[in-house]
Amino acid sequence: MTRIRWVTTIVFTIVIALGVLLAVNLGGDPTKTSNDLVGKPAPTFSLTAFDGSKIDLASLQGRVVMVNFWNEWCAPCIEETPSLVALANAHKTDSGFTLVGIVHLGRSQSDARAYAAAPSHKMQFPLAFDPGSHTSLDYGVTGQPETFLIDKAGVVSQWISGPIDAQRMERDIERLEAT
Amino acid sequence: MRAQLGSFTIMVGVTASLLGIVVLGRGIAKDDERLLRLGRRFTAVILAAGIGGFVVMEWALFAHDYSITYVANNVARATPGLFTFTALWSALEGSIMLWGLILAIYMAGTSYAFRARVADPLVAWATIVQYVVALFFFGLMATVANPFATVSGLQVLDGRGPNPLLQDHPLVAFHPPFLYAGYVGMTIPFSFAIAALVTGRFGEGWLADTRRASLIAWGFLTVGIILGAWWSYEVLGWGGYWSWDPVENASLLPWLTATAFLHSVMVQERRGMLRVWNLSLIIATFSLTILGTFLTRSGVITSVHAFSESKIGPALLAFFGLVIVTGLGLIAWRGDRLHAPGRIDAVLSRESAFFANNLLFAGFAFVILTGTVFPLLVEALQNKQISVGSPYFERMTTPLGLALLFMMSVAPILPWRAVSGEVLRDRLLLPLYAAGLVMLGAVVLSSADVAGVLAYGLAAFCAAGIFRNFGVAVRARRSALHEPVARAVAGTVRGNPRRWGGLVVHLGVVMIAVALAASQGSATRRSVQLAKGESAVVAGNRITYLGSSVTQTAQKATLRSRFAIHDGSDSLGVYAPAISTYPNVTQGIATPSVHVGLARDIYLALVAAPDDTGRVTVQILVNPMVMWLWVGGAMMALGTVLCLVPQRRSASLGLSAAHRAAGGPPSPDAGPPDGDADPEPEPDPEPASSGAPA
Amino acid sequence: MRSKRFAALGGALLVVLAIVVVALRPSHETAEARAQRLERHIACPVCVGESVAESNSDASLIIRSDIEARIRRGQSDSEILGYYAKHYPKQQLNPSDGGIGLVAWGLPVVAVVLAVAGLGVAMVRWKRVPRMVATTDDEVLVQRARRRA
Repeated sequence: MTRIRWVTTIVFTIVIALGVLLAVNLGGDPTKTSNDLVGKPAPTFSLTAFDGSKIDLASLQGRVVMVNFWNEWCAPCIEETPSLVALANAHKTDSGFTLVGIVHLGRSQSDARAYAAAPSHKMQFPLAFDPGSHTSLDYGVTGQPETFLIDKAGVVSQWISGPIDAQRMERDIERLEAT
Repeated sequence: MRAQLGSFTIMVGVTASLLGIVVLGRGIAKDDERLLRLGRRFTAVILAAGIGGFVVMEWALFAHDYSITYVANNVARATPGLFTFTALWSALEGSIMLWGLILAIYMAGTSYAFRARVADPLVAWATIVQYVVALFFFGLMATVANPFATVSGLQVLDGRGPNPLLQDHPLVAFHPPFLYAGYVGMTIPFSFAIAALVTGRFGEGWLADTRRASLIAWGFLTVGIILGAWWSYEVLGWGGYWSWDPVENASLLPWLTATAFLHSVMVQERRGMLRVWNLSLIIATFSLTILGTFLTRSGVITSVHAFSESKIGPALLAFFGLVIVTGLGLIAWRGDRLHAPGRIDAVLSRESAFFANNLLFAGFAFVILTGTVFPLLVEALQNKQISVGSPYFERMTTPLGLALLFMMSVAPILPWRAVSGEVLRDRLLLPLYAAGLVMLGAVVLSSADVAGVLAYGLAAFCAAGIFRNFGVAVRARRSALHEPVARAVAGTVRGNPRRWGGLVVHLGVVMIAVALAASQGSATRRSVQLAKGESAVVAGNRITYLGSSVTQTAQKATLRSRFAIHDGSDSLGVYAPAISTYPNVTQGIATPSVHVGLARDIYLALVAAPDDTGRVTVQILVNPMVMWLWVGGAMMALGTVLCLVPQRRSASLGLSAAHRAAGGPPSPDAGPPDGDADPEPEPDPEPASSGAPA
Repeated sequence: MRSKRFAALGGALLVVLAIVVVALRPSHETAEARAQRLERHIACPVCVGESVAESNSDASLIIRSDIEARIRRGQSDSEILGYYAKHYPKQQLNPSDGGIGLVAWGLPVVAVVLAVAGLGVAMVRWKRVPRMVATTDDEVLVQRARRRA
């Protein structure tokens, strides 16, 4: 083979590889998402709740914990609240499950509005402020609502971006509680 | 009715392309000049189809013909006229239509320019290649990207209107068409390159034939990219002009290879070398335009520019494959015969400077291609999503950019073949001092880092070299012809517009390099909350909030906040950045307001409307030297136009006679008539050519 | 001739001096500039194609103030970027320093080095191609022309 043929063959191989790479990605949906935190220990937090008490993830070890990042100005979050309220009520007496709502991207004004809005949405589960957004940064939260389901061992088992499906969530919680 | 009419024009385009291929193919096979003569006429039919489709679509857009899906999706009754017009290229199907029209214009122009060479198989083959490209794009319109598809079921009463970003600034009327004119224009040199390979005539003929087309396309692409940067700066409101977005990268890729091509063709014209390389470069350029379109229109990559539809992805990828297979296959097939007889005499010579320049451009393109497709590689191998952004691209391209700036300074100074140390020293002395002084000045006066200081120094080096070069040429002309300065300047330029046009482009690049170095190095950004009457001081400028007002039109609601800018006690005027909200779109579109200055821009972008306490949040940026990006872009355009001016034979003959009279050496090495001459004759071992044919 | 050589040397000296000074002088990056540089490494979580430095979304503003706070606390660049690399892996705008990221960083460098080497080899080969050699016929032609002149 001449030199030129060698070079063209090499270039051709590279371009074919590129083409295959592009073709493989063609079917994919660039907006589909995953979260690296799933399967890893949940970042700890210790936050002040709306009622002034402390909410500490470490003290909840042994329970299934659902952490929900929300805000009062976020329409999908408000749409989601009835599901959350239903879940919390269903597990009111269940010592194996806790739902914690954390105000996402809160600043003084929006924190105040979230505090004021909670009762009107009947949100009677533990709600907490996140000063400096340290917790939501630790969780790598990118939007709201975002929900993390943490198993008894403190490992993130599920991540949901957008409103949750209450029925599916109920099944998953029961499954985690059973293990 | 309009839909049928429009679809008809597309079918005409498809049919004419097919007929063109068949007729020309038979004409070549039978060596029948009548068929060849007939075959080229289909370019006129395609042009008619392209214009017809365009007109019908504009008609439908202005008539709000909501039976056509494209119209319903892209024009609302409240959309202003300008943006109704530009809606034609505001979404995928229409943009393919614009592509088809521009291609048809290029094809008709080429066909006219080569009307005297109908029987030339090179021209016939090139036309066939153009027909194939046209067939592909009209084929897209006829199938997966049909702009005239009709609504099934009920018609809407009012359309959705273009994407808010595409109805907020008049630049939308200019940036996409210029960019497309650049992309599409690369079809012409590509078609001649393929024709050269097929016919086996890969000497210098096809280069000379397509020099103008390549330059025109390159000029449009350059202006298109700069306009895109300007748009980003003026409309998107983040204060920058280049975000290394995949789509921006996709436009830069063919620009880089095309720029390399424009330089390396000179080596082939002069020395007969780099034949394979030139063919590969132009094939690469064309395939990169297709690849770029694929990347941005298929949904494989998320980008601000990406259209949501992804139906044309497989078709574009297949076409990309076809182009690559054809191009590389032909090169491999012709491989043995392509080998060019060439030698170089010295490492320090114009030709080796061009080799280095090409290597750097190719490397630059490779970096950008790697960074752009890297996320796809990670996704495919590790199923992880990542993005690659400015830190990567800046770190990788800064050294390449500086090296290119260096080559740009040195190459025009080096004569062809070889140079003596003394000559080189003579020519570099002034630029060297200019660079040294500017660099010391930058060290003392600015906080620039090493890369910044080098950029300023190289810019001075380059600019001084160009001015010295021009000065010497003008002086030689004056002393030989005893002309007044103005006439000597004009005469010099006219004597070799290609060379001086090229150097004007270089000056434009120098300006852009300085603007890039300055604006990246020392922009100041601050986000402040201001109540009415309060002010903030940013980089010595006082910005005072005066108040806000809301205007409501059917198209949009606009909140405008007014700010007075003072530099010390001087008032720089009142600027009003705005946030517009469009119906059906939740997110507001921020429109910045910029005080443009020679040394720095003061850029105001509204972040948040007045809150409960009446305080607005405004982002204030002080961006040094950004204006020189646009001036540099204009310079590049001007230089390109100058390059296209035909050389004045008489003037150049006069000059070469003058040279001889002044004791200059004759030119035994008569380059091509429009060759890139060295205006400084000198006693070289082998005389560098001194311009016009003897 | 010698004066010209000295002049060239002087010019080169100026350039070298400027480079040495700028390379040796301590960088006085302000905290603000440093924050901005770091912010450019992180993509805005809720936008397309903007970094945290450029975006004005709430999420970006929060990250910006967090980075500023970390700088005030005296964290190093790698600490800050490391935190975000861990917690916002998808928002990284730089390929990783190890693993598959090496492809992005290394491939272009390898390609350019190979190309330079290739060009070097080609140059050597091109230089070896003999200059056109005059045949005896040519010599005769030249002689004849000289005699006529």
